[in-house]
Amino acid sequence: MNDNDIESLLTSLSPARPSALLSQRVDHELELDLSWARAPKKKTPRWLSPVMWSSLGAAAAVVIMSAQPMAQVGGGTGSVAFQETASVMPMSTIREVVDARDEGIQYNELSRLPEQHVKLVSLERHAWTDPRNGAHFTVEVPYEDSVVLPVSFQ
Amino acid sequence: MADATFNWKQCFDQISPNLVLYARQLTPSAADAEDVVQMAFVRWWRRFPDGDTENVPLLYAAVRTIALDQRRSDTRRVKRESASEIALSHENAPIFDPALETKEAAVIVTQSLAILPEEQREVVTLKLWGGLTFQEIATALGISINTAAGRYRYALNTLQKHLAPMKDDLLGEPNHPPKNLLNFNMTKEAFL
Repeated sequence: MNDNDIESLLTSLSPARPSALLSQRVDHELELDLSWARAPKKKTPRWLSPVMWSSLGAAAAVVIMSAQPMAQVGGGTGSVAFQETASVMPMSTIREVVDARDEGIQYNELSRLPEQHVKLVSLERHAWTDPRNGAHFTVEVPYEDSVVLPVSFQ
Repeated sequence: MADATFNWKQCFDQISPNLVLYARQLTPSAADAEDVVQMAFVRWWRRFPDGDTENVPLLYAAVRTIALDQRRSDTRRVKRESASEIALSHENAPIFDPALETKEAAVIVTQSLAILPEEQREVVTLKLWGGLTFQEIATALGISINTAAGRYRYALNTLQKHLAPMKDDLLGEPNHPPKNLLNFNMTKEAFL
């Protein structure tokens, strides 16, 4: 006799029905105060609760991020500090590749596998505007990245 | 209004046998169990008049709270019993539907459930007849999900040991129907 046998044996038995008097007593008690029947149903869909929590989290993240001052824009070797004041609005941030130099195939010292080395030269442009007088501020940050690509000889 | 009345009756008809069965695990008599179910259901329905099944675990939790409160107030019970003869008349009413083909099994299972500790009996009742998940049972009883699952497991082990000697009577073999079922068939054939 395993667990399934026990469970099926138990569930094969139906609980006894309560007395008819019980239903009448419940009916009588519910009729004493019918405010429940008049109350508008404020049923919240099941999916709404997680959505509300996630939107609350997103809103909190936006508040925290906007509260932090944007002290530094850019990064890497050519970091540029630009203190954004309340009057200056960021307009755009564009990064364009200026040059790509192929430095040939080299063999990795550790793995002894061939790798293609490419040097990418790019320029990042940050632009701000002052809506009070229409002034534009542009900062250009040059970047030079070394890219290593795996090579397979077939 | 008629629609609302119909709704609660439909819901009550469906769920009340399971509620009373659960309440009987916590109360000394059928009358006490029905009192508890009445109070719990009325409170629950006033709070959730749409009868959403999502809130059914709360109903079982209400049954439990009221049953435990009622157990503490012995004076109330004594007073009610002296006032009502109906209460005394079904003090020992069967907890399962006494259908002919399952009557014997119902008696054996009732006795077997009685040997379980109350906390295990509660979990078994909520799981098998209440149809609650372990998560819902844990919430209703204020215990961890692991504790709920552990109690269920212990209860099944105990029931297994207790019911194993009566296996043939309860389950019946493929070639040997249960004794009560055999008697029923013979009676039937005699009439044909």
